Amino acid sequence: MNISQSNKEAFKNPWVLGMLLFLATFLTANGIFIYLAFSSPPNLVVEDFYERGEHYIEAHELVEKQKALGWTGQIMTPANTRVNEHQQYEVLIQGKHSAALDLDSVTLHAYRPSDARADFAVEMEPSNPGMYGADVSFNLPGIWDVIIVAKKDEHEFMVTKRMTISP
Amino acid sequence: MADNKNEPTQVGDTGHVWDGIRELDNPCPRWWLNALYLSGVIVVVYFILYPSLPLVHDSTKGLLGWTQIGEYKEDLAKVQAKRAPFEDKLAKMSVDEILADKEMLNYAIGSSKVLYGDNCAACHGAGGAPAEGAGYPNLTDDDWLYGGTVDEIQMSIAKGRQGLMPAHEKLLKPEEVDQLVKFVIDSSNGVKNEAGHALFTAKGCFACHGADAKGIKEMGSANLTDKIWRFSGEESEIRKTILHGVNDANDKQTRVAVMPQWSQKLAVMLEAKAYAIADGEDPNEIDWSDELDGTEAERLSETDIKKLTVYVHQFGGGQ
Repeated sequence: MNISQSNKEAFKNPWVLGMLLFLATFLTANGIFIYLAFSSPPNLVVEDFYERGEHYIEAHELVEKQKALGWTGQIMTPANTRVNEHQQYEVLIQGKHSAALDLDSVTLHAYRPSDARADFAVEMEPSNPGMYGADVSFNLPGIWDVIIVAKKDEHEFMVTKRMTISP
Repeated sequence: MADNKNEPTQVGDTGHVWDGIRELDNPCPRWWLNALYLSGVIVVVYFILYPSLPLVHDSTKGLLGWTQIGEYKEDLAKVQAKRAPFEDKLAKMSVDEILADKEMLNYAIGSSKVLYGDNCAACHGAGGAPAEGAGYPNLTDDDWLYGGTVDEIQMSIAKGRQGLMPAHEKLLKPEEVDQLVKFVIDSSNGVKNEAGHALFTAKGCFACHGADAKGIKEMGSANLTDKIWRFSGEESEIRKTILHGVNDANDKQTRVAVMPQWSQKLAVMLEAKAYAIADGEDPNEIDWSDELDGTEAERLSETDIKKLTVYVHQFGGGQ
């Protein structure tokens, strides 16, 4: 039997057809997964990954600037967290040698690692010296990343805490 | 035939000739075929036993009913079961009783490391000594602003602390500030400064720092006669403290000295017990419904605060 690449007889072979079907199924399934990853939930795909990579040096410099500021912060969260209930969240932020900071703004950003659509932000108000607070309600149980950003003039300072919200 | 695989003339072929190249019919090695068949069997067994095939909204469950989250919960339950006897015992013990029980003391200290790291280390440093210039009290020097007994440390954690020193920029003349700065530095070096002490007294500094300038723990005021500094021992920083005070809401350059309140509920309970003892009453007879209304904020549980009290107490050889 003379077989060459120009011979199409092989496509009549059920084994060859089976292999092609397997390949087509495999590629289709991958295509569906990629589509689902892009469509929902959104956090699985970082759309601006290239820009983030380009800004890596800037982000690193920002961390160094924060260290140089000598500011410190501590987030205080409720001992018993509950979903869909307003609870008091506070942060203590102070400068070097316990200096008071007349901050322009303090914002609590709540990031839902598994679904960016649930992310939200709340402005925190000054309470006691160095203390800022806000009543916050998380609408989903599970893991949340709390990032509090304090700004004063061109300075920016971040405090982070990963927490679990109880059902 | 397999033995002659390197001798094409001795090997049978499939009858196919691909553009002049004869397709030989060497069988696969037996070990390789067996491994292939075995891996196929393993895949089938795995698919039957474990969740494997994605469906539209779910997946096949597998005969074992195994899930990742289920395994995590099982492991967590095992850890909690092991810790439960200690946690239950700890909840019923006072801090003094924990300190007297070696086994429970070890457990409390061991299980406090993460708690301390999550809630205290950001200010007080990983080992109880804050970073240079951070401006937080050092927990390892056995110098306690509000007292270093276990009860006092527990109250500091539960209730929180907030120092207060008014700004003196508008109250003192520059030369008076100079004199007080010198007095503070002299006092820390054990040098007698009578003129400075006279001014310290005349300006009312003694009301908070005590007549002997050694501080008053009920007020959390600093001892000015030692070399342990609440903020900094540098002359410029001492001057800044005098000029702008501590937690003075009217001065934007004031220093911040705030220990957050970690359990309003426990603070109320500790104070109620202390009042009951002072009044000669049995603290076990307190009707908590009169003292607590259920709205008290809690950032750490009572047991967690007990653990941290023990942990902090052993840092600086607590009193």
